[in-house]
Amino acid sequence: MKKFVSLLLVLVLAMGMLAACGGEGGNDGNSNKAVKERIIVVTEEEPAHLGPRTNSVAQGIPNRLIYSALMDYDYDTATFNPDLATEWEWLDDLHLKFKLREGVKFSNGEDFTAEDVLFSFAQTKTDSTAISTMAWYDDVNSYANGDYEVVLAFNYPYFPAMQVLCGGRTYIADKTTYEKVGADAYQREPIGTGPYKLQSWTTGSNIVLERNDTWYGGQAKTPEFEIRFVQEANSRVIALETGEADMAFYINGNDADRVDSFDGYHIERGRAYKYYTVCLNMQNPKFADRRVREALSLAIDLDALTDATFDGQASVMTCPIPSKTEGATPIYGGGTGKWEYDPDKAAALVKECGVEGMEIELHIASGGEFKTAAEIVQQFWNKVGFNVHIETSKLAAREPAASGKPWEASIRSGNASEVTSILIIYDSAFGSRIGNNDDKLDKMLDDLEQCYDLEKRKTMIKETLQYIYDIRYTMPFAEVDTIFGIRDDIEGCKFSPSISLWNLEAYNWVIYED
Amino acid sequence: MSKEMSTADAISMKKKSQFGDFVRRFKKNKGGIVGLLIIVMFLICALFPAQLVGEDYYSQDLSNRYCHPNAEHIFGTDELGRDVLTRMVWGARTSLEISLSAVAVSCILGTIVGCIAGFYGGVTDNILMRIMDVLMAIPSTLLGISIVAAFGSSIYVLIFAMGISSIAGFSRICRSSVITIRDQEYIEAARATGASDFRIITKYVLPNALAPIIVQISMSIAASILSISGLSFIGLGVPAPTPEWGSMLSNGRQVIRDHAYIVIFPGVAIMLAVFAFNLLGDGLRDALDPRLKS
Repeated sequence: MKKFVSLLLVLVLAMGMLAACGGEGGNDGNSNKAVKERIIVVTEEEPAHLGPRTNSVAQGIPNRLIYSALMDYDYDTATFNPDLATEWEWLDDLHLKFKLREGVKFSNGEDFTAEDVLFSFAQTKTDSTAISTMAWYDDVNSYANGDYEVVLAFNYPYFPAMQVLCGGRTYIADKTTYEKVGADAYQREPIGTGPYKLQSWTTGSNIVLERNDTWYGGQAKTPEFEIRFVQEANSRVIALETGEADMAFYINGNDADRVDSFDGYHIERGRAYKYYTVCLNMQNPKFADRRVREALSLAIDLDALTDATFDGQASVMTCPIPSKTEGATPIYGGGTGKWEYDPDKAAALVKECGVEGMEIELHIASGGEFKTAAEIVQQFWNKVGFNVHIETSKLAAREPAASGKPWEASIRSGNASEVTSILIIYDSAFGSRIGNNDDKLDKMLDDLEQCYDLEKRKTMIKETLQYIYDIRYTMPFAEVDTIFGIRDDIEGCKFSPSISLWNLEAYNWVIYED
Repeated sequence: MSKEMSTADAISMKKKSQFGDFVRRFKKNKGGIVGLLIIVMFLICALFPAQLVGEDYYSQDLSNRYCHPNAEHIFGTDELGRDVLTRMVWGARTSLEISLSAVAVSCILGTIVGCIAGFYGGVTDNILMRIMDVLMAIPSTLLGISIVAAFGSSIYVLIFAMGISSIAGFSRICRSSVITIRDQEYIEAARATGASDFRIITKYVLPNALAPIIVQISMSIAASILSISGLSFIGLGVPAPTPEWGSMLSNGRQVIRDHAYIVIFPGVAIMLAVFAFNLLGDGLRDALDPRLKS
C-alpha cells in the first residue's frame, strides 16, 4: 500500500512538473492551469506614436505597459505609490527630491539612472504637446545626486505636479538609446522599464507586446498582450460576440445589454472624467456682450442634449468640471446644479441685443457624438434667433491651433482627471478654442495651480468654477460613462472608468485555460 | 423652290427617323427603361420634395427618437426624431443636385479639353493629355477628401471636388471620338469652305462625337452619387442638417443592430440611384451604337 501511495505521489508530481513545462504560455505560479498565451483587447484608435510623452487616450494602454513613471497614482484611494522612485521629499515649495529604485533595467538591458529621469523631463520642454503641462518644470536647475537621487526644480509652485509625475507625459525613456536613434525612431520602437516591451506594431492593425523579463516588478502574468484597432463600436462588439477579443473598450451604451447577454462576457461601466462642452471664443466680438452669451446658454436644454447625444451613456453636468474631480460641486442654476433652460428669455435677449439672425459657425471634429450634439445645439440656437452653420473638421490641419484661425464656436471634449489640468483650456497660454483674454480668469487659474493648501483650494476651485459659469463662454454639458466588454474568466482585471486607462494594471491580467 | 422644300423635308425626315430609330432601339432595352423610370421617380422627388413630404426636414423631436416605421412615420424616425422618409426625399435633391452639377462641370471642361486635344493633336494633345493623366493618377475619393479638407465642406466645394475628378474621363472619351472624326471627308469639306476651327468643332465634330459622351454622363452621375455618399459617410459631405443619403447611412451605422431601418432606406436609395444610372447608360450605349442599328 505504501509503495502504491508513493508511486501515486511520484506520478502526480511528475504530471505536475510536465504541466508546468508544457506550452509556451507557461503557467501561473499559483495555479496548475495553463495560462492563455495572449490577451487581446480591441480599442477604437491607433496611437500616433509610442513615445514616452503620452498625449492621447490611444497611447494610454501600450505606454502604461511599456514605460514606468516615478510614482503611481491610485485613483480609488487618491494616494501616490512608489514606482521608479521609492521615496520623495519636498525640500521646499520649489524643490522635490526623489530617491530612485536601484537595479532597474530598461527592456534593452540598459541600467536606469537619474540621468534618464532628467533627460526624459528635459524633452518635455521642447515637445509642443507637453509644454503646457510641464511649464512648471525648471530643467535648468534640476539636478542629480549620483545615479539614484534626483532633485526636480519648479519654476513656480504647482499643486498637480505630483500627479503629473505619475505618467502620461512623464514616463522615463532610456537616454542612451533615445540619443542614439532619435525621437522618431524611439517613438516607433519604444524602450521602457515597464512590464511589457514592444514585439511588433502593424500600422492600421495591431500592437503586440511581449513580457519584459527584466521588469523590476516581477513577471507579467500573461506572456503577450495584443491591442487591436477597430474603429467602429459595432465591430468591437462583434469581436466579443465571435470570441475574437478578450476585452473591448468604448462600447456604446445601446450595446451594453447585448454584450451582457453574450456567453462568457459581461459589461463593466462607470463614470469617467471625459466630458463635453460647447465653447465660445472669448476674443470674438460677436460674443463680447454677455447677454448674447447668456441667450446662447439659456437656449440649450442640457438634459435633452445629453440624452439624445449619448443615448443614456452620459450624465448631465452640474458644474463646469466632471463630478468626480476634486472640488466639483453643483454650480449651475444658483447652486442647484440644474442648467437654466429658458428659450423664451433667450429669444427676448436676442431681440434686446439686436442680434437676430446673427451667423455663428459651430465647429466640430468629425465623430458621431460631435455631429449629433452639434445638430441639436444648432436647432436650439436657431430657434431663439441665431443662424448657425456647422463646420466639420476632418483634418488636424484645420484645427485652430494649426490653421491659426480661431473657431467662433465649437464643441470639444476634455479628458483630464485633475482640476488644474481640466481647467487648462481656459488658460490664455493654452490658446486654442476658448482663446481666453480675461486677466481675472488667468489670475484665478494661476493662483489655483500654485496653491498647496487643501482647504484654501476648495474655496478657490468653487470661486473659479462659479466665475467660469457666470461669464458663460462655455457650456459643459455631459460627462460620459466608460463602458468595457470583458471576458468573465479574466482574472486580476480591476475595472477603472478612467478613460485614460493609466491605472488598469494590465500586467496582472490573466486567463487560465481549461 | 420646290426642289429646296423637298431637300428640307428630306433632312427633317432624316432627323426624325434618326431620333425615332434611337427611341425605338432604346425602348427595346428593358433595363434602360427600368433605369429611366427609377431616375424619373428620383427626379420627381428632387424637384418637388416640399409637395411630396412637406418642407420640414430639419426639425428635431427629441422625445420621438428611433421610432420604427409606422403609419405616422412610414420609414421611421432617426436619432434626432426626424422623419426618415422626409429626409430621404430631400436627400434625393441633394444627391442629384450635386452629382448633376459635378458631372456638368466635368463634362463641359472635359469635352473642351478632349476636343482641343483630339482636333489639334501633336504637342497640344500631348500636353493636355499628360495633364489629364496626372489627374487620373489621383484616386477620385482621395482628391475629393483633399479638396474638402482644404476648402471646407459645402455643396459648391463638393461639386468642384467631384467635377475635377471626372474631367479626365470625359476628355479621353471625347478626344478619341474627335480623332476618328477629324479626318472625315465632311470635315475636309467644311475646312475647304473656309470655316474656322471653332465652327468646325462646334458644328461638325462635337455633334458627331456626342454619343459616347452621353453614355459617359450617365455612368459618371452614378459614380458621382457614390462618391458624394462616400464623402458624406466619412463626415466630409454636405454640412448638417442638410439631408444626404451618405450621411444618413453614417448616422445610422452605430445603431444598425437595433434600428436597421435607418440605414436600410438610404442604402437602398443609393443602390437604386446608382443602379438606375448604370442601366440607363447601358441602354443609351446600345441605342446610340451604330453597329447595333440593324
